[in-house]
This record gives sequence, C-alpha cells and structure tokens, in this order.
Amino acid sequence: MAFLLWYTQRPPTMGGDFKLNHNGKTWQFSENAKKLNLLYVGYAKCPDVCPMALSYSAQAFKQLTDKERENVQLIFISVDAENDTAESVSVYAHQFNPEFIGLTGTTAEIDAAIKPFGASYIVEKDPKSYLGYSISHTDRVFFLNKKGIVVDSIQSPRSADEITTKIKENL
Amino acid sequence: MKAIVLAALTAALSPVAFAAKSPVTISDARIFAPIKGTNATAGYGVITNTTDKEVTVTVERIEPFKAVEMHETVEKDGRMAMQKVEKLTIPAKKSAELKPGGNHIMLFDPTREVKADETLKVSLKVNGKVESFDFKVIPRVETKKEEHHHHH
Ligand SMILES: [Cu+2]
Repeated sequence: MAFLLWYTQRPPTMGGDFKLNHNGKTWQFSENAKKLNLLYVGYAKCPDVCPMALSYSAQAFKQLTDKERENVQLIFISVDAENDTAESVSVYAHQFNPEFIGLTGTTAEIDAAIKPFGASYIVEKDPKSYLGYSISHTDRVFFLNKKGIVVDSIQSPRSADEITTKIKENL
Repeated sequence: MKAIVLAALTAALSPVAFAAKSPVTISDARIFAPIKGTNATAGYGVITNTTDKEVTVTVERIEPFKAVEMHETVEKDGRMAMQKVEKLTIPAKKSAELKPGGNHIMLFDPTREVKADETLKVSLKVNGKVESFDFKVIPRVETKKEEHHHHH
C-alpha cells in the first residue's frame, strides 16, 4: 500500500539521451555527459530570458570549486532552426563561459531532443517587430544526471546563487 | 546649450540635480554589451515619474543600433513569450521597472562595435517630447577579479 502510494505519486521520469549538431558535428549526449549537466532551451536572438539564464549560470559556475566545475557542464539548445546555425549557437554559448556548449539542429532533431524533457517552444510571426518573429519557449534550467535523466530543475532562473546551490546539491 | 542652461537652472532651483527638467528620472540605466552569435541585446532600468500626472514613455532611438523596441516578457501556457509594448504608462509618482523577465528595451543590429563601459544616448519620448538619457553599457557576464591578469 505504502509502495503503491509512493509509486503513483512519484513524478514521471523525464529526459534521456539526445543527439544534436555542435559546430557542424554530431553531438550525442551519452558520449559527452558529465556527472551533472545543466540544460537550457532557448534561442540566440532572445534578448531577455535566455541571456539572463546563461549569464546567471556562468556566474554560478564561477562560484564552484575547480573540482566541482570539472564535473558539470551547461548545454544550450537553440530551437531557432531557421536563424541560428550550429556555429553561431556555439560561439554564442562560449561567450558566457568557454565550457558552455551550444547546440542546434533541424526542426525535427530539435523537437526530438527537447521533448523528453517536457520543454517546448512556438515560433510566432511578429510583423510589428524588427526581428519579424519571436519564439516563446520553456524558461527552465534542467539538471541532468549522466544518463540524461532530470534530477532537478529551476523555473525562470533569476539568480546565480540559486543555480550554484542546486549544482552543489546534485553533484 | 539649452540643455546646459536647463541643467544649471534645475541644479540651482532644486537640491537634486536632474539631467534636464524631465517628468521622469532613470536609475540603474544599463544596456548589455552585444555578444557574438546574435544581433539582439537588451536594456533595463527604473523609470520614475516625478510628477503628479500620468506620463507615457516610448523608446525612439539608441545610437548605433538600427532598431529599438520596447518589449514585455510574459508567461504564456508555461512558456516565456515576448510581445511588443507600444508605450509605457507610468502613474503619478510611480516607477516602472525594466527588468529581466518583464519589460525591457530590445536593441538590434549595432552598426559599430559597442563595448562595456561606454555610455549610450537613449532617446525616449516622454509625453510626446524626445529626451535623451544616458545608459551605461555593461558586460553580459560579470568578470570576477581573480580572472583579471592585469589591474588598472
Ligand atoms: Cu529566450
């Protein structure tokens, strides 16, 4: 009975292995996984929540010890298949922290990669804006173990300390 | 010249020296230095209406960017979405905060390299009148002291 209760109330397992394009080459999570992997889904032309999440994460990484930092990485997946290239996403992510990995792919590849995490996005045409479009997307840092399973997450990360604490808790 | 006279007048008449005799003041005015891999960046700050009447604020121009817009980040079905804001309306004696995850200024396609520590002139239309405000360019990622190899 107690087991059944635990089983039914247990959150469903999210995540898993995925494959995308890193700098023109295939990047498979399982081949590159660290002990702890932060994952954020967005797009490079996002001016607000994406760069904030990445810069807070970069600050968090600086607050780790060298030993801790060796065991953690951040993966940024751009869902802007039309406007971001694998090269530009990689360059973009690197500027926050040289260890941040920027990935993208075709729409089909992106969709397949992010779905297991419960992340989603919608490309919206916006003729009134200079950019002509915007992408609404999940604003969450996922913490993945070596197998790609979500062990923790932060909705709308707005401070480096919050991210640092979660990294240390999950390492 | 007119601005200098105005500034001098304001300084003489009031204990607080405003940049000009504007209905609004801006604090913490900052623009993130653009980074490679994107053509967009953002600006934030706190705009305070010092008058006892409502004011409207729109963003007009920021050199050297090709386009500027005011946007709002809103949550829509669990996702963060952005929508264009035509104007900000600030009630009497109240402030509007431009902050991550809320209202922000979007800047597109700088025509030259914009670096941290620069000051950019931001043209805002306050109650229909164009006024210039100084925004400081700051780096996207805080560089920590121990990472600097040389100090100034
Ligand atoms: Cu974003």
